[in-house]
Amino acid sequence: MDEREARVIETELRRSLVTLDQIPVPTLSSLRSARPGPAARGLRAVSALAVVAFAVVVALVIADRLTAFRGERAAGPSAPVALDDRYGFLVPDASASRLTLTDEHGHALAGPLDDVAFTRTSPNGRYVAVWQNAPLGPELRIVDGATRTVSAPLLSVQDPATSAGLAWASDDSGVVVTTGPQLAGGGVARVNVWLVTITGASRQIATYEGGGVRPLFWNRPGGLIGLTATATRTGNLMRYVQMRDDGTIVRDDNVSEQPISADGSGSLLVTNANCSPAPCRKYVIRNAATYDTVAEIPVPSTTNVSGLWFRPRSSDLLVLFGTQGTGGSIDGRLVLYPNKGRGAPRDLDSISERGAVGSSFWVSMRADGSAVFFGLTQGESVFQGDLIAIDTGGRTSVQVGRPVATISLSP
Amino acid sequence: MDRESWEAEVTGHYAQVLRGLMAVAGRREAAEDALHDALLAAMSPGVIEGVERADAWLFSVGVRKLRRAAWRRRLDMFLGPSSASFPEPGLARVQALEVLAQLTPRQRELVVARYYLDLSFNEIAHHFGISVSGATSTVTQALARIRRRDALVEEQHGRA
Repeated sequence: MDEREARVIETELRRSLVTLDQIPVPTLSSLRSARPGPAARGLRAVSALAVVAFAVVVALVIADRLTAFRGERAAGPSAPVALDDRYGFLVPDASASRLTLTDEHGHALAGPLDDVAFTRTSPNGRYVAVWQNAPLGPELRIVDGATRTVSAPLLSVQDPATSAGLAWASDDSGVVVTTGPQLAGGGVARVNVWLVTITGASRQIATYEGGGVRPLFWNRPGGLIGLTATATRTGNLMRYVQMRDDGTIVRDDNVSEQPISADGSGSLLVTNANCSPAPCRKYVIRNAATYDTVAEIPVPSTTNVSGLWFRPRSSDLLVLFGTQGTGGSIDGRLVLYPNKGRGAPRDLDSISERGAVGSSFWVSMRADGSAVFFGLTQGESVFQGDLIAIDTGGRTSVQVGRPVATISLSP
Repeated sequence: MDRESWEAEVTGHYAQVLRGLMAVAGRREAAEDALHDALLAAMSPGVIEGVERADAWLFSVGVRKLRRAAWRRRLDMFLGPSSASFPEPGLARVQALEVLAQLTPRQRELVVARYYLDLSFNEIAHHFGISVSGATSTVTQALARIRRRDALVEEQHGRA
C-alpha cells in the first residue's frame, strides 16, 4: 500500500468514524453515579460462575436480575431540564440600562451594574467580565458567580471616547483587553493590548495599529493571544493576528474570511466565509494556532439571520439558522454541531412565527454548556421561550429575566 | 493538570471518549462500565496531576478496563442469551462500527485513538505503553486490512 492509497483510506476512515457521533450518550453525572463499582462487578461475575457450576435455575434468576439492572441503565437517563439555582444570569431592569445578578429563578444576588456596554462569560462559567461606561471612560469589572460579588474596577481608561474589546484567558485567570479610539468607517487607530488578571494585576503588552481591532482568545497554556482587525475600509479583507503574551507578534495575515469568535480553550476559531456567486456562504471552523480548516458548516441560502456559539467546556458548536421575512414572519432552527463541527448535526429546536413584527431571536447558553435558552424577544426585560438540555434534548417552557450573560454560581 | 482543568476537559470530551469505547467494544453497556471505571480510577490521589490530556487518558484506561471485563462477558454467555444481550440503541446503524468490525481488537483500539480521538502516534505509544513504531505498524496493518476488504467488496459488486 503506497502513501497515496493510505491517505485515501485514512480520509474514508475519518469520514466513517464521524458517524459515531450519531450515537446518543448519557449525561456525565449518570455515568459517574448510580453504578456498581468495579469490585462489585467482579463479585457479580464470580457469583455467576458459581451459579453455573452448581445451580442453573439459580443462575437464571441472577441473570434476570442482572439483565433488569442493565436494561434500566441502558435505557439511559431522561431527567427533565429545569431552572436551577446553581446557575444565574445578568438580567436587565425595565430600562435595560442596569444589570442585576440573579439565579435562574430570579432571586437578586448582586448589583445593579449601571450603563453596561457589554459582557463576556469566562470559559468555565464562574466569572463575567463587564465593561461599564463610566463618566471618565470605560471601566472593567469582574462578576464572580461563586462569591456573588462584583469587583472594583480592574482597568479604567480615562477617555470617554474609548472603544474596548475583551476575550477571556482559557483558564479563567484573566482577560485580554483592547482599548482605543472609537472610529467609524473602518478607520485605523493605534490600539492598546492589555492583560488583566481577575485579581486586578494589569499590564499593557503591546500597541497594534489597525481598524476594528478586537481580541478573540487567550490560550493560556500556549501563551498565545488571537486578535482580529479589518484590513480594508470596507471590511472585505480581514486580518488574523497572533501575539505572544509578551506582546511579540508571531503572525499578522490578511484573510478572506471574517474571524467571528473562538472556543473557550483558544484552540478553535470560527470564521464567516462569504463568496461569490451566492449562495455559498459557510462557517469555517479552524485550528486557532495553524488556521487550518477543521470543518465547514454550510449556511442555507434562505438564512438572513444567523448566529454561532461555541458550547462552553466543549468543542461543540451551536448554530442558529434564521429567516426573517416581511410581515413579521420569522423562522429559525437551532442546530448542534458536535466535535469541532465534524459530528453529525442535531436539531435542538425550531421556531416558526407569523406576525411577529419587531421580534428577534434570543439564544443564551447556560454557563456550563448543559442547556440553552432559545426564544424570541422584542427587547423586553423578560424572556419567554424554551430551556433545552443539550445532551438529552429535553425541554421546558420558561419565563425568566432576559439573560444578557449567563454565569455559574458554584466554584 | 489541575482538578478544574480536568473537570473541564472531562465535561467537554467524555461523550467522544464514550463513543470511542463503544466503537472498540461494540457494546454500549461495556463501554459505559469502562468509562465509569476510568473516571473512578482518576479519583485516586495524584492521578489527575499526572494527566496531560484527559480524553487520551480516559480512553486508554477505559480500553484496559474493557479488556479485563472481557472474561466476565464470556462467563455471562454461559448464562444464556437473556443475560448476555442488552439493548444497544442506535449502534447497529452506525457505519463506523461496520468498518471497525473487520479489525482485530488491538487494531480497533489504535484506529479509534488515532482517527476518532485524534491522538498522535507519540500519544498513542505513551498511553498504551507501546513503541511509536509498534503503534504505527498496527495502524498501518489496520488500513491495509480495510483496503483489502474494500477491494473484495468492489470485486463482488463488479461480479454481481
